[in-house]
Amino acid sequence: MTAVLDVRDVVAGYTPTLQILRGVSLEVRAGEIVTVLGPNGAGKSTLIKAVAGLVPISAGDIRFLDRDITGMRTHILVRQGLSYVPQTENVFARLSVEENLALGADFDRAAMEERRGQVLDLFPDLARLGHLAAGKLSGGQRQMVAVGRALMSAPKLLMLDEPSAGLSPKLAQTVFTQLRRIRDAGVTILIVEQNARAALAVSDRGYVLAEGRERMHGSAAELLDSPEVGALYLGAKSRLARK
Amino acid sequence: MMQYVADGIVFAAIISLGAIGLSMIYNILRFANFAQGEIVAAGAYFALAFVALLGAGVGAMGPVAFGWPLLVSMGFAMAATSTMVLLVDWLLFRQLRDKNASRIALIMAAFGVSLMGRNIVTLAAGGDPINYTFYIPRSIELLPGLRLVPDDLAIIAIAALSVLALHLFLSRTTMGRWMRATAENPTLARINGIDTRVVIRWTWIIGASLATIAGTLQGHIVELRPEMGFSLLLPMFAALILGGVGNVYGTVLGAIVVGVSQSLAVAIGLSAYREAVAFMLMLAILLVRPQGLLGERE
Amino acid sequence: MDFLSVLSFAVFFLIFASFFSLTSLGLNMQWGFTGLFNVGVVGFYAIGAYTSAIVTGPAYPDTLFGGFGLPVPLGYLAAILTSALAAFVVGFVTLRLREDYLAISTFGIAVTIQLLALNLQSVTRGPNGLYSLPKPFSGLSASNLVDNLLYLLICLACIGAVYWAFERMVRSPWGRVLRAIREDETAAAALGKNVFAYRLQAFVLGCAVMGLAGALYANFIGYISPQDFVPIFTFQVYVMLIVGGSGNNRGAILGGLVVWALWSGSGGLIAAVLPPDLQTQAAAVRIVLIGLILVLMLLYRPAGILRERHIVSHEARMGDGARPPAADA
Repeated sequence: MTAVLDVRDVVAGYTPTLQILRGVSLEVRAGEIVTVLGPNGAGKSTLIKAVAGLVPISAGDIRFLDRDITGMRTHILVRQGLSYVPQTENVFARLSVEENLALGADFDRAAMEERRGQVLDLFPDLARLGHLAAGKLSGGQRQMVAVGRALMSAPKLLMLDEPSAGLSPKLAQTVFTQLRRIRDAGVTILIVEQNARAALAVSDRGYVLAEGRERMHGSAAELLDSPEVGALYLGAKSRLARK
Repeated sequence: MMQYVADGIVFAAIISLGAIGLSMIYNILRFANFAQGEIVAAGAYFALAFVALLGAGVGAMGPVAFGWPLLVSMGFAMAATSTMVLLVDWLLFRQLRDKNASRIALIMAAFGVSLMGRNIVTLAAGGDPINYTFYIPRSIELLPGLRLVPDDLAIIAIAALSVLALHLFLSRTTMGRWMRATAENPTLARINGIDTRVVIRWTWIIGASLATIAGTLQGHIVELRPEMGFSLLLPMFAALILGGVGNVYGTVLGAIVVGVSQSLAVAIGLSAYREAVAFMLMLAILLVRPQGLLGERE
Repeated sequence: MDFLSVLSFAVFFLIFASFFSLTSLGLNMQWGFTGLFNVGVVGFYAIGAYTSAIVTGPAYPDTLFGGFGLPVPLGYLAAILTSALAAFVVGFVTLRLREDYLAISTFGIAVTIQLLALNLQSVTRGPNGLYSLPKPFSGLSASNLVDNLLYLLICLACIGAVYWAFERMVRSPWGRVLRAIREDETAAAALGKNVFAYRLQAFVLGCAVMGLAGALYANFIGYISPQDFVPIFTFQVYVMLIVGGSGNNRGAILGGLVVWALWSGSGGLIAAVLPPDLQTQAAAVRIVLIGLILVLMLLYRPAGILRERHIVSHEARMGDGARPPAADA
């Protein structure tokens, strides 16, 4: 399997003096769902943002579909098939649901109708919400708009930052189930999550970050069985945190 | 009374065209553009240059004392002002954005551009008032007790058409959608594949074009002076804040409130303090409803 | 030129420079220490000047209010109070809001004061201005030079007192909070500091000093009119503060001196070298140049303007839901 995303020894941060990622490597292969875990402040979100071109990278390189994309501008990355759903403020609250979806495909109008059909297949609820301002939706509905909007650009890789944050367990489960369907439709997925169990349950592999570095990686099953991950995410005293 | 309201609306038409540019810059580039007045003045003077270049005077349309020569000159002036503004953005504001300069640095830079702009106009065209043409305004009685000069009606019509065109642009076109998206959340806009640099360029072009229309109309009914735009700056800011920052339609509403209030100030003998009236209105709204008439709470 | 005329000129020059240095000190409290952008410096300076003129000036036949003829120190005091009051009103309304609002409102104050000065004939005599304002110590000796020397001492005493007070204040816990607010408002608020109250205090203090500077000017020159209070003044003071180094009280004073020397020197040069019909253009060129200096400093010496901007609490930056930054370049 070829790597869709290949991150090598990336050092990145918002200012030159404060690096949040201190040499992270990670690989996402075609057709996989990969989850990145880690405690707060480990650099999980920064990792996704660095890939999306939203955080300056000071060392290392990032390859997407075998092309070097290090330091490339965000809107160009998106047009090449890399889609990103932020954790918060991920819809345009003042624009209608229709407009939010349309924005995802504005740079490729020809395919818009077809993709809208696919997105509405996945999230049938959105069809009847079309003319509402996205700011008026519930948390779960917003998340659907955000993911739907990201899919409108026909991504090769979909990156999601805490897709289950703020949702009820039931809704979170629905989101993860839908992610599986999206993957089955041919989209490779990278998730950053606190909700380790639910995320690993739908993932193929996972990485654990701590303090801007990779602590461990393995298959989803390995991580679920790992005492370290268990200690971190099931409430017991963490050995990682002490290190 | 009705007469003063009508006069206020003529003034509002001009303020709103200038203030829309201010509002769009505020929403998308996120700073108070103190140089907006000079953009209005530059537009008026560019139109003057093209009137001279075309050599066809300002024309006439029936009872209206201007016609296609002035409108064509105004069209050329819109292009010239936009080019100039893009150049200033490229030389100055773009660099400040690249350096992640604070909002205050942007305001300060605009303040500097404003001062330079006024004096460059003085250098280029002299400090004395100039007119496109001399005409004797003949008012017609529209309703009993309401008289307007045909030119004023033409000005209201031009402003209304411009606002309508802007509305269609923002609500129907892709670039309009991109602008609204960038105004709300620039990072999310980039994540949607929007090139915010292009959006910024269009923001300047639209703002400068509307300002040129405002300047030309103001120049026609009053006169051209290097400070003509600077003296509109406070009413324009008042319109922006009254209507609610972040809402272009609110800006138009704010302009009407400011225009009519200033006109009523004239009615009660305070004509010299018109701009101060705009300022007082602005302070009052900031005190009781900082988000403005149509604004949303941040 | 004999020694006395050189000395007279030097004293005259220093008195003028001290008006600017004092205003620059006031602005430093706002811009340098607290990060407040006041676009209406000239407005507060004018409020001080007109207040002192009204309080200390003679009764004019054509005004309805003013001409109280009170002692000059009372004029200075009244100037401090009125400019502080105006600052309080503007600050109270706008300092809770985004920084643009303060900029817009202070601009509004400056415009309003200019309109009042021009049109409120019954108090300000409009464009004709207020004249025959008393100057302390005048008539004490037959020599104008001695008068001016004594006035210079008053100015220096004011600068010294304000400098001493401001230095103590900015080094006190109060001053540390101000700097904390400038660097990171959210963090300061999180520490339980009432950001609004601190800002308002700094703003009012700064404006009071500008008002005092205006009063010193009015009673020295003896005649004020609206043309003395134009927007370029605000600009000059910013350039002075930035050249001197904002956030540094000694720099603020020195900047006033240096920039005023350059400004008046270049003015003298233009007047001497250029024919009269080019003087208007030359004045415009000079203003364009000072604008250019400001803009170039913003671009290439931002450290002088935006001190310590890189130190931002990294909590605020790392937060995933941080406010969206301005549109990308």
